Amino acid sequence: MYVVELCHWLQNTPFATGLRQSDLLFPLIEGSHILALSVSVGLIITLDLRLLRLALCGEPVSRVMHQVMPWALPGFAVMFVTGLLLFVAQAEKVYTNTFFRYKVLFLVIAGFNALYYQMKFYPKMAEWDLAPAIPAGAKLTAAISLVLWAAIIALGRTMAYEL
Amino acid sequence: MKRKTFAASVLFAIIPAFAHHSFAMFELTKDVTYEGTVVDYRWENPHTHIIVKVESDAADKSTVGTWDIEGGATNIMGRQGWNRATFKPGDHVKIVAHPMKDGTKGASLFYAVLPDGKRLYHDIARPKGEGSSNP
Repeated sequence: MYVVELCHWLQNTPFATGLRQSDLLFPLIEGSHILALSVSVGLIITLDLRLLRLALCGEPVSRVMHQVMPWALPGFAVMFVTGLLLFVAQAEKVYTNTFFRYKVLFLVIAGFNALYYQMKFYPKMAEWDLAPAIPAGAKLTAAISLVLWAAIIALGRTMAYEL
Repeated sequence: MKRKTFAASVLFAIIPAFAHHSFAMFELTKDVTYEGTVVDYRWENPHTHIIVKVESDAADKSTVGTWDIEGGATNIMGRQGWNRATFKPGDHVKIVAHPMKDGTKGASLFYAVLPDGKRLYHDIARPKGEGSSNP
């Protein structure tokens, strides 16, 4: 109950109302959210496919990762900030949206999944960097990441289909 | 050349439909007239909303109740002549809209009829025979 009230207050702050009523800012934020998503998730998918040995197999994983991350991380930052602004602008409406709740849940799981990879497999990367057999656990995190991001994007899109 | 024309026509076919979401949830072949009082007029993104209360003495009994009529983004509506002051709570309105398929009290704006008989449209979509700016 308390969260609904908080969202109600947030959505009705002059800042949120201003965002919603802006002809320029709202489409700019909305568009940036999607473009940043394509950069960051697109590159995350590239790394996941490499871990699954489905793409760029001639390249060491570390090299793919170090090429991809300097773009994927700022992309993620822009996606996160614009997503936060879109949430603030429509907080109350979005909070009660079932698709949004699943989207947030999957985002949190994707976060833990990435953290697990980073802590468990990244430190020992030198050992399996070019090996034909990538640790099964690392492959699993890549597969989970692919599924989660597909679901997150689909849920984000479906959110709009409620009045 | 032919390919270019094709690409252009595809592009133009897409533009009117480019919105926050598609119109799949609305019964687009159904034009229902909602005549009543504006409860709330929300000039905002991603969609403008006109909340209309239709009294029980309405000509079309199926429209009695409070309806959430959804329009386009402020940009799209602005190009059709709408602005934040087009309506205010308490105004009498006559709106033609496409109702939700699932029966909830919501509809997609088609056009509003102003007191002087002039129509304000949602976007460039026009009834057949009524010239639109884009063919």
